[in-house]
Amino acid sequence: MTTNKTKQLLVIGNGMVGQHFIEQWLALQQHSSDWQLTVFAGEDRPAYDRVHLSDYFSDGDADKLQLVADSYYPDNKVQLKLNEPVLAIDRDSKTVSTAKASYPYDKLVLATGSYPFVPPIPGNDQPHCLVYRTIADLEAISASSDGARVGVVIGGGLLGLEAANALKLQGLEAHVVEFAPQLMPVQLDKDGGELLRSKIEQLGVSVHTDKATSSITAGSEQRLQLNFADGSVLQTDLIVFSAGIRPQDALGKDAGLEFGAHGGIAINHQCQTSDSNIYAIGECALYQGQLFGLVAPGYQMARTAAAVLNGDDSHSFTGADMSTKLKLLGVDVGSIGDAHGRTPGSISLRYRNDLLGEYRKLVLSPDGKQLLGAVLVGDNSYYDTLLQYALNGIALPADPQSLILPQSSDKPLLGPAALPATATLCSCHNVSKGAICAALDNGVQDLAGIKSCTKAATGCGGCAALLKSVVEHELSARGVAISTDLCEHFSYSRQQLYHLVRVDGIKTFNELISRHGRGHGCEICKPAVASILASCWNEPVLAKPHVALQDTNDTFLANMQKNGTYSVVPRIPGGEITPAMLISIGKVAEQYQLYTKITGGQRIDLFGATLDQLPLIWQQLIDAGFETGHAYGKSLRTVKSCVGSTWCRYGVQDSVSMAILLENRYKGVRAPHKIKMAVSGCTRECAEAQSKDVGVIATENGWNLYVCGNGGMKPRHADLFATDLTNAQLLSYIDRLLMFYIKTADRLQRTATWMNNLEGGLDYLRDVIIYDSLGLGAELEAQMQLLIENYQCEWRTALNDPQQRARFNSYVNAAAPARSEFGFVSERGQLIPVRQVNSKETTL
Amino acid sequence: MSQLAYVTDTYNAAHSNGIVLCQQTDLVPFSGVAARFGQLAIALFYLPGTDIELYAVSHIDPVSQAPIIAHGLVGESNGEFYVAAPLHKQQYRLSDGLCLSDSSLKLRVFTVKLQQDQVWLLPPME
Ligand code: SRM
Ligand SMILES: Cc1cc2nc3c(=O)[nH]c(=O)nc-3n(C[C@H](O)[C@H](O)[C@H](O)COP(=O)(O)OP(=O)(O)OC[C@H]3O[C@@H](n4cnc5c(N)ncnc54)[C@H](O)[C@@H]3O)c2cc1C
Ligand code: SF4
Ligand code: FES
Repeated sequence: MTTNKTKQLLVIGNGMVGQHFIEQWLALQQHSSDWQLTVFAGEDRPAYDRVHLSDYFSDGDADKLQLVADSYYPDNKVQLKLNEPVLAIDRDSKTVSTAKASYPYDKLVLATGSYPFVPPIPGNDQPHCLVYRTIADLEAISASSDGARVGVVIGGGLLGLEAANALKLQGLEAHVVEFAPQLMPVQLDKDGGELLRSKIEQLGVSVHTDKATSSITAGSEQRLQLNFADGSVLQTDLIVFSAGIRPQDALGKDAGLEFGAHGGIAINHQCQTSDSNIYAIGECALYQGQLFGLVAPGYQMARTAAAVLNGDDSHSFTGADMSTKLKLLGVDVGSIGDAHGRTPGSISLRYRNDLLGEYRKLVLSPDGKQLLGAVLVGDNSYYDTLLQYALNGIALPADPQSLILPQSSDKPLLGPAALPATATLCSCHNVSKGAICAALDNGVQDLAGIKSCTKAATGCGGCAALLKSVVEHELSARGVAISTDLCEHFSYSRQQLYHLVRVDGIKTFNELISRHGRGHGCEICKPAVASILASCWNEPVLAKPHVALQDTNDTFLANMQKNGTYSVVPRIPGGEITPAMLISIGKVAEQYQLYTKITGGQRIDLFGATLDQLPLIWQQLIDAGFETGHAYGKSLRTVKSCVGSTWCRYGVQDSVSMAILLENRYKGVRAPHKIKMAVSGCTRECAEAQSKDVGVIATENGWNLYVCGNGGMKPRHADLFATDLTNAQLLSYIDRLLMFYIKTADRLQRTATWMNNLEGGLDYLRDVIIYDSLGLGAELEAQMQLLIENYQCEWRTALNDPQQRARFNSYVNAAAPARSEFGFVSERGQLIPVRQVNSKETTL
Repeated sequence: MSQLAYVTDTYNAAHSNGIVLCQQTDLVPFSGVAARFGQLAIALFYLPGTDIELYAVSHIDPVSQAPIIAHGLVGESNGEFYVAAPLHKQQYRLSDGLCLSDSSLKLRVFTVKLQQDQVWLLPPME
């Protein structure tokens, strides 16, 4: 029983790299389980995205940064020991110990990362002297900013500037103090540093270079005072040290592992330390005298260590590229390879334009044929191409300067076609162009599919633009998938068809297919065109020319259930309902013995009606004051609400009234897919507005608008779109947004996917909707107004039109079938469909 | 089993000259309606202006056993018409009832014709 002993694999550190190791390891271990994986985390939360740490200050939500759900660990049988740092490693007994217990290991992985270096300046340990590395650090900065006016960052490197931006976002007057004569001395040369400085100063951050801080004392105006070696002083309320990082290598050093002169646990190309049972990966590891302070190399180490531990020796870590591209306070900065031109004999080419604020430098090999490094400030659009030249040793064109000169029309862009198959596109996940092509050949059909199957562009995100261009190029080279044809009957995309309908004023499917299509249509194009026609002209969907185009559910204004009966969903705007209305629903349900359920959308669904019963039921509901809920349509479903200021002690606006107003305004509007909305009365967000296509959250001053969220298969939180809107602004933005979505989305594309696929994404959407960059605003609002004015309850219309009503007869030549023919049984006091075993034999 | 045999027999034997199922005005152009003949539920699809204007197949969905086929959407591919089953969208060719996406599925086909504004159900053609 116990002979088959489980082996212990311990990981110390649940940072980004430690987490990546877990994922890689689990992927390799799918079938065997003779290892127990235990992970020790020094922090009190599971791994999070440190690279995007600063997002904490823009959206205030630390949980969004978490890399995997809490359940990930138990689901995968990984023991995660939160807030249980390892204190010592005993290599003789092969155990590690924490404050709580000792744990034996067979193999051990160190992924302890780095800690921020705080220069030994007297006074550096006072309150309000902080660092910038963990979520806890950011919480401390946030707390310290309370009541503060001025903030100083010590260190003008990459992270320092990011921290300065964070201070600015906190509303502080921000200063950066740098010891070196320029900003970002590691990545940039002198010219680049100067230009960056002037740009950053223009943004209102004060830069002090060549400043050595000799002490920190109490301030007179502000909390603290920095005293510089040159005699000058600077007062501030808080200080963030960002003077570099140091590998967190103490555990390894104490255990007698080999380490570097400047720290870091030495590893070989298999990520093994001097003890072959112990591995080190990420920022705590030192390979051939080099430390790697970026995620991509860390991920490569994680991959290597996981493979080697799994018995696959073919993987190795052979160093990594440290190029970086970033936007600091809105300024593009890029640094590639040998940015300082330290290679003997290297040649440099520079372009500097103080007028435009752009600087670019190339460092070439002595023969001028290869790109060794580059510096970019002001415009990163050159980065991807240059990086590919440098990484893949692609021979430079005869006039390499053309690579950095502006608008030379024949700039030899290194298009996706020119990249060799071996070119690494995504260094975080080590995905080559060849791997992308292979995935496409194996049937992956779009960018989203490529991302999920290769993980490309899901790390730091730096390769996203390049990946997109490669995927699109490869797809079109294959001649297949890029086709946006709706189906074999129309060589147009949904968006193009929408325009044709609008521009030519086309009112019917037949007119459209005879003028712009071929054949007789199918279950793809018919409902799509029906939806476009409805979005443009809002004629009843069951009117004669449209009836044969509708999906079954639209045809019968109800959702067909698994046994062939239908459900009935009356609209209950905002979820508000009077007792009398509630009773009338109850009566109908009772009379027809309909299974009754409260839905996830704050309304009531009645199940099990036969086709012939639908008009009878709806007649009663309409008489009681209900209208159709469009549960069957690609149109507005529900506007969920919380009670808001009417009852709730926290509510700051009347969320129920707003929800009802929105629901009544947009009901019946046909769209490419269903639309859901919600309105919450305060920031506690009881209506879950951030999971909707349109979310509205009350503020003291009005409404915050969130857009493009959804639940369902791939949940996505909505993005904050605009703040403190008046009622009128809110309606105008939603009008425009919905109409623009209707105009431009693909068939069956929810708003989230639509927005993700829009070139320019959220920013572009803001330009169009808020700043009216396309000049479409008034037109979009007018078109929406037309739809609103033409609204009619489809059920009421259908009941009043004998021809439409006749459609609800089950048989044209026989009486309605008894409901019992559909097979019902009783469960918990209600009728549900008989649980069928599927059989293909036809009986009646 | 025996039920099926019974149905087939009635269809074959009793109506050698055909019977009137319903009126042409009961049909909905480019869509389906259901009609009943004894125990049989028949889906009628009316495609005016095409080569074969009227098709009749079983109304019973072979997968769910529910009487719903007439409520599916009619589609065309390369000149052939089919109906997409309402629940799970299998495509059944109207001319022979064959399921285009799963060859183990098939709808029974009936012989029908339009004559003097009436829909006639005829004995099976051999
Ligand atoms: C009844 C209900 C479940 C319940 O018992 O609570 C329900 C039932 C159905 N949902 Fe839903 N959904 C219901 C709330 C939801 C919610 C929750 C919500 O709205 O807050 C979601 C996730 C939120 C979202 O949509 O973003 C939801 C995500 C889906 C999806 C996945 C959408 C996606 O983008 O991934 C589908 C499939 C689809 O629409 O293509 C779906 C489709 C369906 C359909 C229409 C499937 C079908 O075609 O037969 C179900 C039939 C409803 C019927 O027969 O009346 N239902 N469905 C809920 C009706 C709410 C209402 O009052 O209208
Ligand atoms: C603000 C910021 C922005 C950044 N931006 C970028 C960027 O744009 N691109 C980029 O490539 N990189 C960026 N980085 C760097 C990147 O975050 C790191 O390279 C990466 O997180 C390193 O991962 P790691 O797992 O090695 O270390 P970490 O993520 O630091 O994780 C180490 C973990 O180990 C834990 N630990 C330490 N000792 C112990 C112990 N004894 N027991 C248990 N647990 C322990 C720590 O608490 C920590 O949680 C940024 C970093 C910061 C702070
Ligand atoms: S969201 Fe606000 S107003 Fe609405 S119920 Fe919650 S706390 Fe109350
Ligand atoms: S390079 Fe970081 S995600 Fe691709």
